Amino acid sequence: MTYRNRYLIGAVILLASIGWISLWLWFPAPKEPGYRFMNAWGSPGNTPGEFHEPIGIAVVHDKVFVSDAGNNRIQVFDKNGGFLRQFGRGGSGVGELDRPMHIVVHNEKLYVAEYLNDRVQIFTFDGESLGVVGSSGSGSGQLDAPGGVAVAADGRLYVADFYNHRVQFLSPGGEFIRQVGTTGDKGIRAGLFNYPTDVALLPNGDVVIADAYNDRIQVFSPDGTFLRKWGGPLATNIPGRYHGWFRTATGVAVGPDGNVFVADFYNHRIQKFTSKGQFLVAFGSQGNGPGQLERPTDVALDDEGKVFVVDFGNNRIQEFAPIR
Amino acid sequence: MLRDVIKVMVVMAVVSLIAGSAMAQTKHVIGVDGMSCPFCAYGLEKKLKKVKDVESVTIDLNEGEVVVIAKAGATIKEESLRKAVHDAGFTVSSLKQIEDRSE
Repeated sequence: MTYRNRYLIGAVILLASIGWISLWLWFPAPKEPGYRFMNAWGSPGNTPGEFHEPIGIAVVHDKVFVSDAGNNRIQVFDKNGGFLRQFGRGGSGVGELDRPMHIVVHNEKLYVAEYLNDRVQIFTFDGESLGVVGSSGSGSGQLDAPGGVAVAADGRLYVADFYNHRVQFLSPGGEFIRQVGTTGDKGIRAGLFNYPTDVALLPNGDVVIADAYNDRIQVFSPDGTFLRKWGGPLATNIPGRYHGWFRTATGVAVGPDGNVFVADFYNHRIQKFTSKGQFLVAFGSQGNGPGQLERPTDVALDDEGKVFVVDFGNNRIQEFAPIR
Repeated sequence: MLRDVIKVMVVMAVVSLIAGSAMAQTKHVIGVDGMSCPFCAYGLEKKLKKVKDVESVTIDLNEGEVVVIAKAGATIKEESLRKAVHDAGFTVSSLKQIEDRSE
């Protein structure tokens, strides 16, 4: 066999190997049975139980909190969708809201990222305001359109600072600790963001960030060290409809088993991954029927692993349960 | 006597005209392409609310339309609205101005 033929054969084997590895990496098959539709509630409007552009969701004990952004209020339901109460009204004062986005519960308090008020406001479950964190701007501790927030066990806040292209790590009182991302600069390198919208925490405290317009997830340690990213080939802002790819990842949540759930907005689905970013399963398709989604913005889980989805485009909440 | 009546009527007519124009609020209806995500649409709302003399901004994501209402008696420069839309990353597909006289 001539040297040329050997090189050709070698090249073909190498290309085939790269192709096979790429298929395995970037077009993964589901590893779980999936989720089935259980319940849905809500319709367009501004009366109790109706929604106008719902964005965020949090589930704790037997209650479901929903940020009803277009109506500038928080609505509280039982887990069957029964309306319990609402609080908030449009404005910039204490207790008022201006486009509440993603929300999170920590130590029996509700934390609300307010996009147009450039702050995070903290409430009791009954809607009494306990104070705010942040002010308008791009300096340390300032915010420009915060989209989401997570709270660590020690009360530290992680805020997705949307227009500043960063996630700030703040003390419970709002003092700046550090940030990931370069203020005002978007990019696709690890550690840069392109309009981050949401934050969630893994059981070990690692910070999971929905890097929305980079179509990816990025994960950092609490000291700000970049750990990993995923979403399409090399997680470099290549959108797509395949498993493990995103078309604008707007919301992120961590389940009771430590897996990561992502609201994949323009793909009208929820995707589930391990904490290391391995694709497990996806569910949802575009539409307004039971189990269908129209631009979901957020996802939350209860202690049993049931999934609650903000079905933004359909102005409703949907509940799914794992198929066992 | 008749001249006095006419004078009073003229003064009342002028006062009504002035009061009417002072209460008029201009409404701008902007067609915006590509608005389907609330994170970006609210960013447009944020930019438009900072334009001088804007009183309120209402965004209809489904229709791709933004209604901007000026403060009473004020005029918003169309160029300022176009710039705000552009700075938010969107494109203006249409822009019309409607005079809305309040009672």
